[in-house]
Amino acid sequence: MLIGVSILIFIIARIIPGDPARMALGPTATQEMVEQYRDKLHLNDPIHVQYWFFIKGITQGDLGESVYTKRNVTTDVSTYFPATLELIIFAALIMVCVGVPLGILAGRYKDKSIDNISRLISLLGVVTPSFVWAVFLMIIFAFYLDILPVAGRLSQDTVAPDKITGLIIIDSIIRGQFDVTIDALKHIILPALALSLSALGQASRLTRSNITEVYDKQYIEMARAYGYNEFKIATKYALKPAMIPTLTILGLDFAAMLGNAFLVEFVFAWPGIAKYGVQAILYKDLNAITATTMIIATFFVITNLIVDLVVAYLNPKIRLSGK
Amino acid sequence: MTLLSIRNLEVQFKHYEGVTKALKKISLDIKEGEKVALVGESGSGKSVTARMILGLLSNSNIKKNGEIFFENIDLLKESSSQIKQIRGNEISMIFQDPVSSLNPYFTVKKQMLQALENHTKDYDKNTIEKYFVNLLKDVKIEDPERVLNSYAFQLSGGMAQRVMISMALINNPKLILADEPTTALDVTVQKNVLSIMKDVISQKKMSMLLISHNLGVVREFADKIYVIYQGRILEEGSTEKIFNSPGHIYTQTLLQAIPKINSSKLPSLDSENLDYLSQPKFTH
Repeated sequence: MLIGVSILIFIIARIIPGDPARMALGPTATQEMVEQYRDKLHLNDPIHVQYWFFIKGITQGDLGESVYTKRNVTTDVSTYFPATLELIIFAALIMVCVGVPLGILAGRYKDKSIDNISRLISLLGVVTPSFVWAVFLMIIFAFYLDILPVAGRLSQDTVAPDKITGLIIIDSIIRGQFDVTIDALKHIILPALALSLSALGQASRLTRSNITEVYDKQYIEMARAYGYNEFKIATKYALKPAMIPTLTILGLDFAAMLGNAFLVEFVFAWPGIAKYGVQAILYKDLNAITATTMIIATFFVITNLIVDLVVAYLNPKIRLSGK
Repeated sequence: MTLLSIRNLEVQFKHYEGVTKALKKISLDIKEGEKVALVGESGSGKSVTARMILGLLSNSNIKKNGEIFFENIDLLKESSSQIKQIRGNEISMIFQDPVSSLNPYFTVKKQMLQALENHTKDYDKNTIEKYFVNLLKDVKIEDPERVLNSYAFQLSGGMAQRVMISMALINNPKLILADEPTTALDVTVQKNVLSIMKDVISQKKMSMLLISHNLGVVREFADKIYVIYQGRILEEGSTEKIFNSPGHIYTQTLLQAIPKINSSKLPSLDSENLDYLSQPKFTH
């Protein structure tokens, strides 16, 4: 699958009009310099030869040079990707920790006022684009209340901890620099919230519909007839059957955040991969486009695989069918 | 001594089109150790009666009147936390479709343990598995260890219903409600499960309310029969009397409707026939 994606993006990136070499060197460069640069990027070779160079590079861990940042794309990606990963992990945490309980409450108290409120919140979350939330949150928390910062991953006078995972929050905890952790947390809350709100609405609606379906099952009535208390039913006995189908979609939502992160990253000046990828397209930075797409595709595949494994583990019907 | 006594129970469901009267002042008594059957066709209010006893139909759209005395406490007036103490503990219930009554994502053992833990926290963890194994052996399950670690989808219908019966016995209840316990099973399995259930309950001297539309099942099982039709009890009496000399015209028609090998025509039970309701209740 990844090979297919790589071929596709490789071709598409080369079909878009515009000469990357010319764009990189600027209008003042001579035709000779442009030709030389094209040679260096193998752009004068036929497309299958170019692809061959690309694959050869990948096997050596080299994704080529970015014509925009003038650095190796591998370096760029390893700087920008962890920032986005941190952002979407945080957003996913909010999505699951708020969206799922909201859905459980709504499903448990179906058609009661708490359900209506929860559905209203979810609907607002789903219909409002994340960049609108981003601007909203920024105006409220950064401008009027002035309690949270507006841009970047850290304040200007805070020094990032030495890189271990690239996720500042985790790195600073490992190194014991808790003041950095707090600063990073303050920076991540707003963009993560903006990014999570639409997914949160989705998660809550999905949980609600699955849990109401489970509540109509005979085994829930039987649980009541055997004196289970309602809390236990909602958090365990009905939740497990309801969460298994929900989980698959949540996994996809999580992976999709990587692409959706772009506008949020833009509003909050978050130095992430989604923003990097869009810039790469605008500058027709071929290697960077391919690398970013490949990273996102790989991330999708890995997330899906993990979710499938988790679902298979949780669902005894799948877990036991192989034996 | 009377264990359960329903007095003038009335239940109404409110919905958009108006009000449905599910039960119209029914009264019913179950003595200690007695096996009572409530017989009626679909929609007659049999299942509603069982659910009312356990308070499983508590919804704002339901209007209820009357009394349900269980050992001198009125279940209709008890708080929900007290009802929970009775559910699965002093009164337990067996449902119609055993496979869908068991949660598909938890093992039988987990669910039995939970049914126990809902009512008692102090039990010996080392001997509890032995207790479950014995309960399963009581209902003639031959490989109880395997069944304990199985999920509902790994059990056959008859097996699952036997698991449900042993689950109903966990807390040694005084009364077991069985709502069409054999309807979802194959005919060959039905008889088997029924006789197992009868043996276990007689042995443990428990009372039972059996809800059924199957007169054959009822005849083999019950000491006493109540015939219910459109939310009204039409006839009550011992099994012998009901089968030998049915007093109410509805009961007579019902008995004629049992297919016999040598009869070619069955009487029709017209559910719109108001004659059934015009005749007064017959008590033997």
